Amino acid sequence: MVRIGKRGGAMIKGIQVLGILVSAYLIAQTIMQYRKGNNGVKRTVFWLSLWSMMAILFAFPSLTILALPLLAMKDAMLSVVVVGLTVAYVLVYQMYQQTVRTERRLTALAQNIAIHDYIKEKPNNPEENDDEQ
Amino acid sequence: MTMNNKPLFVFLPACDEEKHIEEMVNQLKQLKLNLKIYVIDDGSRDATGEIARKAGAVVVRHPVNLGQWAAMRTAFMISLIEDADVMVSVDADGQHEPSDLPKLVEPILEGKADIVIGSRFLEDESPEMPKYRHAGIKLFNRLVEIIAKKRLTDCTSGYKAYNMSLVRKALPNLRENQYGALEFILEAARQKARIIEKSIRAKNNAVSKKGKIEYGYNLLRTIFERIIHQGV
Repeated sequence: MVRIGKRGGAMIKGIQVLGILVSAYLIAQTIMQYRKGNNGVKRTVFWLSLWSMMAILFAFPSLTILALPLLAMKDAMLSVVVVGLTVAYVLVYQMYQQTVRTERRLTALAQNIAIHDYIKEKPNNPEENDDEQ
Repeated sequence: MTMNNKPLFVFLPACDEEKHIEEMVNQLKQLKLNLKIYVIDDGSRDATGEIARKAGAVVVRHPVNLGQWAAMRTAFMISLIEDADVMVSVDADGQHEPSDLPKLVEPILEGKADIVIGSRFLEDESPEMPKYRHAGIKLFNRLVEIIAKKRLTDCTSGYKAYNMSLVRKALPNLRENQYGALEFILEAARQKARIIEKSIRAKNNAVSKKGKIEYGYNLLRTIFERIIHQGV
């Protein structure tokens, strides 16, 4: 067991408080984005769960020890790193999916513009004839 | 050479091809067939679109560069809007001989095929092409054979004729913007389309992007993504 002095203990408490404040800020941001209609229910629930879990772990770091047997790990620090990397991977994958979806929408948009222009410029286009009248 | 007196729709997906586009359009016009020639200008930064329009082609312009197979999908959509029966795609970089067009279209008009691929290797085993590129195409032919149970000699060729009934069924399942040649063949095989090859002549295009390692990697990626999404 590593002994932590008074100054070390105060520093850890400071990190905990900072972590809780950051989590609270992120929770507030997520709720605001939902209210503005930028995020759907599914995405809001996902982010709220993630930030709440982060806040709980900052408030009660000893909870990570409970997860050790589940992860078959002896070291609490290692378990935090592994869980952190897994979450990061999930987030990167989610962003990749979002990028692919956005690219597909932009492609469809550009194609629609091209086809719309083509139909508009067609010689026997009724839309154009209407404009002339 | 038409079906029900409808014109044949010929599409040239083009990006920055001002050097070759005029010659390609003129050569197609000289065929004296009932053709409707379209250039899909895929966000060119040069005068490709203007030159093609002056040469007599109908130009459809993507506002930004989307990729060769996004341009092909636009071509498919226009063919469907125009109620075409048969369409042909030709590379705009000048590597294909427009005079080979009739023999690609013939099997579809005769009802013997749904897609006809212009093969550079059907008769000529060692065409004018770097060896590594030829080896890469052979590898992809083998992969297509394994996955789609269809033996081809030139699965990456851009010179193809399509029966629109196949295009109508395949179009909703196409996703790839740039490297879609194999995706289309795999989708056609899934639709149990009749795929045949006809020998064509081709010039080695020194500036072709095909043959780079990146091109090979992306074709492999396309096959992998296709297996993930569609199972084949």
